[in-house]
Amino acid sequence: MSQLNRFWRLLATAFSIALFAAGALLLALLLAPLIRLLPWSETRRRHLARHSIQRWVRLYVAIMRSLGLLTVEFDGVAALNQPGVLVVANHPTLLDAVLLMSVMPNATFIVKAAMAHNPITCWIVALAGYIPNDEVGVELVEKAAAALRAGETLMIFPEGTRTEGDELTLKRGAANIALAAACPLLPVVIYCKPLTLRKREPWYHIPHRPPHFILRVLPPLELAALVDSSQPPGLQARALTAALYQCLRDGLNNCQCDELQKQR
Amino acid sequence: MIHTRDSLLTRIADILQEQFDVEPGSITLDSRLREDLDIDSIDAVNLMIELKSITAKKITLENFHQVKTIGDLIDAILAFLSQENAQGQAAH
Repeated sequence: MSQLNRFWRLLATAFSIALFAAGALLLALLLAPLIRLLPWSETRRRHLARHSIQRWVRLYVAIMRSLGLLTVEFDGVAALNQPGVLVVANHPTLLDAVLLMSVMPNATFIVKAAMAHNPITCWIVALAGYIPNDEVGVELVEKAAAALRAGETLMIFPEGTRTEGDELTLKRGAANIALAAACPLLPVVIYCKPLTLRKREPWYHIPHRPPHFILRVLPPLELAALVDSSQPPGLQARALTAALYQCLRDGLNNCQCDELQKQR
Repeated sequence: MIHTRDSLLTRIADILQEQFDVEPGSITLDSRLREDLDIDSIDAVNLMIELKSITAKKITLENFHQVKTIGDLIDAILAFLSQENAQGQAAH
């Protein structure tokens, strides 16, 4: 791709970052207080907040696509709106949450604790009813499990942060939540090539061509099939995490094969 | 029952292997629970429950977050037990 195209994408990326910040400010400082003023139940207000956020995020993704910044293929994402499932995904880039949010209208995201403490995003987190992943593991598991039992759709990145290098390092938080709630895991593979906006990578490292994202929803992981409930909880969580790792790993390899096939 | 550091180390190693699939060879007094043995905060809660089998008492360690290594854990358990014994004797 030409240098001109790359320069264009540098400008468009800078614009997109500014647009994102502006959007977050508007949501936090204008929309959140307005919604809070409505004489509705908390559930209804939360629903409106999530709907608004999702509408905005969908528009944002459409803008990035139309600017030629990326291409994205969604595969099977209608399944993401089931109640009482824990959606889990690998986390290669900074855009993962945005892309997922654009196709999940009423999900409870488990967000980085920093988002709940940031003076701007804290309003969005509170209004949308997202769950911060504070360090205290047991309380998070209980809170998340309660939400799942109540029928919410939860989303967590089991890695806890963006992938570093080639290896997926899954923490056991997701497995512990699924075990506590006795609910299935719904894996989503996020494939991106060329990789961009990785951990420790500055935003101005523009890849040689626009990245192509694939968000592919895989069949649910049912606990009954993968976990022996007579085993100690620590072993159950480790077995479930290993199964999830294999599932995501295989999913990523399949995406890679599919993309290579297309190029033939 | 009198607990020595060695007997506690052996029992803890058994629990870690049974409950958390930790390689027995990797457990030393200096092994760090989190970084070396992959015991996370949820494992820690289950570990405390299992430790009840050693001491026949429910263990509450106020400063558990300061426990970094197996050695620290053993020290904390011994401190807790001697405190319980002292209180037990004081009550008589």
